[in-house]
Amino acid sequence: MGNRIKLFTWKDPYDTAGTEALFVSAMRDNCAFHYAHCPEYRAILDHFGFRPDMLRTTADLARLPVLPTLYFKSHKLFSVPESRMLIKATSSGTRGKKSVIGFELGGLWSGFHMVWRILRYHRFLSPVPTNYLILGYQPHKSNQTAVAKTATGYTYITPAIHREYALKYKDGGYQVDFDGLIRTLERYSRSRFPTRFMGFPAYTYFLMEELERRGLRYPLPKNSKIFLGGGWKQFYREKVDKETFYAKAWDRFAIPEEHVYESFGAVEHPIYYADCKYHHFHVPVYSRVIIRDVRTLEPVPNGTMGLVNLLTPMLNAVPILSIMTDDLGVLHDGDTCPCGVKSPWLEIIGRVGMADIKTCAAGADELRKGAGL
Amino acid sequence: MILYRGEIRDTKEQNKLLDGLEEVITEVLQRPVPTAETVIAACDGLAKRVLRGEFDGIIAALGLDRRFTLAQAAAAAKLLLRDSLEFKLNLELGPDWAGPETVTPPHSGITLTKEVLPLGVLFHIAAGNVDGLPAYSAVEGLLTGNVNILKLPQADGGLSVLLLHALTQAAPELADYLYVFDTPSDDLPAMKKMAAMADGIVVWGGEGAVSAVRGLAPTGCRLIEWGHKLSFAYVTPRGETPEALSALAAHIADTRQLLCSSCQVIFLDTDDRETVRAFCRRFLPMLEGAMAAGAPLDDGSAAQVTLAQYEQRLESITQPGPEVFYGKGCSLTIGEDGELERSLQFGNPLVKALPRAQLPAMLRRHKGVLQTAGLLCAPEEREELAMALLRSGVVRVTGPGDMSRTTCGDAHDGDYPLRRYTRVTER
Repeated sequence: MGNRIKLFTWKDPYDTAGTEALFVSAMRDNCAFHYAHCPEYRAILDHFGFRPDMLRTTADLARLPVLPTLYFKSHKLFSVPESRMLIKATSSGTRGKKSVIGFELGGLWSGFHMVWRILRYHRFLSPVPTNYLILGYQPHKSNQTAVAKTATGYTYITPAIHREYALKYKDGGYQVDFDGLIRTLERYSRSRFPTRFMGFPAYTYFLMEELERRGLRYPLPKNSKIFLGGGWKQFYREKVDKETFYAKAWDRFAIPEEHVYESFGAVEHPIYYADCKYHHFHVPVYSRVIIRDVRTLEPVPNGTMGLVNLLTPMLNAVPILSIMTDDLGVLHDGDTCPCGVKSPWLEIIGRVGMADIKTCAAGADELRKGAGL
Repeated sequence: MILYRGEIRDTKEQNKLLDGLEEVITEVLQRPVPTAETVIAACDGLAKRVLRGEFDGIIAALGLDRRFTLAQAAAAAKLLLRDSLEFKLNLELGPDWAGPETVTPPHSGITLTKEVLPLGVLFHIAAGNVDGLPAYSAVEGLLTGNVNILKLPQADGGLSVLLLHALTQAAPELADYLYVFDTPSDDLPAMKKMAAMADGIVVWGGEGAVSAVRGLAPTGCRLIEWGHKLSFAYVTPRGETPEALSALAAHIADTRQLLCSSCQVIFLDTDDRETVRAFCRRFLPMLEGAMAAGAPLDDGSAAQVTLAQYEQRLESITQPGPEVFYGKGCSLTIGEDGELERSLQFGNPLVKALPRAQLPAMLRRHKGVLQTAGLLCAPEEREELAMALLRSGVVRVTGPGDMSRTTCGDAHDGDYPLRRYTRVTER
């Protein structure tokens, strides 16, 4: 059995300590594959004087040259022929340019094991039939974004009674069908079976606000859950409003905080990060995080803020083995979270270019009190 | 924090307050507008308080003292003193602008009353690159009697709300003319509501902000766009003195190249690549010195520069890239073309060869974005070069050290703002 599949079928998905050597071996195999099959990737490694066999210990991971996500938006780096890519995912492409990441069979198979194990670990799998409300895009051949695919993918983890999409494809574009959503909620709240919400935090929030404005409440059956996902970039602002979010979820749908789950991933790092009950994102065995100094790009100790470098040996199709997002984050020691998971957890704090990433609503409130207002 | 009719309100109340705002404003617009004198007196009082240091504690509490010096804050406050504002009004609108004026146009046989009145409701979308600017934009709106809805930039941190709150306390009659929201730009429903109430939208900021606002503006709404401009320095062989270069370096370091008036590209009057390299070798240590003298770059901005430079390095592996001179906390990149463009900012200007004869044609290609040109030339070259620059679309020619100087009565991007915030009526 290859190192990659051994890693992706590891029993405990958060046993990062127990998989250190295996992770490095899988990374070395993966690096050698891309070095041999992607001339552009090879040129980059040669430029930095790096060879795949230099990956021997965990410390060597930080020496592996990093590719910024931006780089994938202007370069198509493929290590297998496009005909062997079973799925292609594109990033949402906020500023026009999109990354295209292909999945070959082995990568997909690994991903399948990962998703299965994470879902099982968090007890998201259930035999109980479920109603789904997807606050996202109805799948359509014009929409190849990863977000649209994952949201629908999630609806297969329990038997689905019904799937309702907030954004429907009509007359060549996506439209919000708000009245349709309300009729659906009415039906779901009378059902014997639980409801699961899937989608972007912002859309879910918007729906709850709109219900509040119209004075509508739909208490949903016990064990109903809200799953929030989307890109990493949604996080910094909403973090401030999380308490409000939980309060509204309880108020409108009778869904308690512990049934609100968050997950995230990036097209360029398709690893399933799910939050623990303290809403922390612990690093699963399939991934490693290196936080790098904002000036020198050298690794910094846990607890220090820096640029977020994500590593995974998941794909042979595209050399995404060590990528850097334009987010700023902190990696915390696992034991700083009381949930019991021992792997470190990643906190996303902001985005590069934010003038003062420490300024937040809390700061403004303190100031207001200080100024006697 | 929200400022609404002189009261500080919680951000959470935003949508409720916005829903009732049109009704409030409609009523306010029917009243006689507060006089410029009311605004001037209140601003003068506030400026004096800032100059006495009453706000230094708040500035420090906000961490803003890491972004600007108290001397800079004092310079900004002086723009709000009575003599500054009176000078500004006089210069921009003329001495007798307020009140009705009776005119009899020749050959018409009729007599009319003309009056300069406020545009009505101004929606200011402020940029975050100059602290205190959002408040200044609102003061310009107040001076001309407008109702002002101000959307703060994310980086504001509350300073503008506190300053404007202090203003309404000094002059309660201004309270109904100021509505300040800390709405994030991606809250489109709220942005649309604010835009729908506006007779004029004043937008400060980059290309993204401006094009987003164009989509929000109701038909017929006056769009007043300040910003998304680029500035540059032009250096002739005879203008390259150590004093001029060191002033240019200080300007680049002080503004971090974040302002519209900040130098992005240093053009050299030459077509010789080796001359450009030699310039970089001379200028780099000066820029290093200037950058080291300033406050260190904040982490978010430093990360942006590091990532962009790393990306540039990767790009140059597979295809020939630009020649870069790296210094400590700064760099100089030799541009292959002679075009004006934005640099990586934060002390990383571009250096390009551009012989004088090619200057007008290049500037015409960028006519929509031209702002300030800092000239480093011999005194006898100055008038001719300055006129060539102005005729090609540049609005301001300065020396290397004062590309970003601010004085009261400055035109914004070649326009007097107060004229755009008013309209001429007849009855």
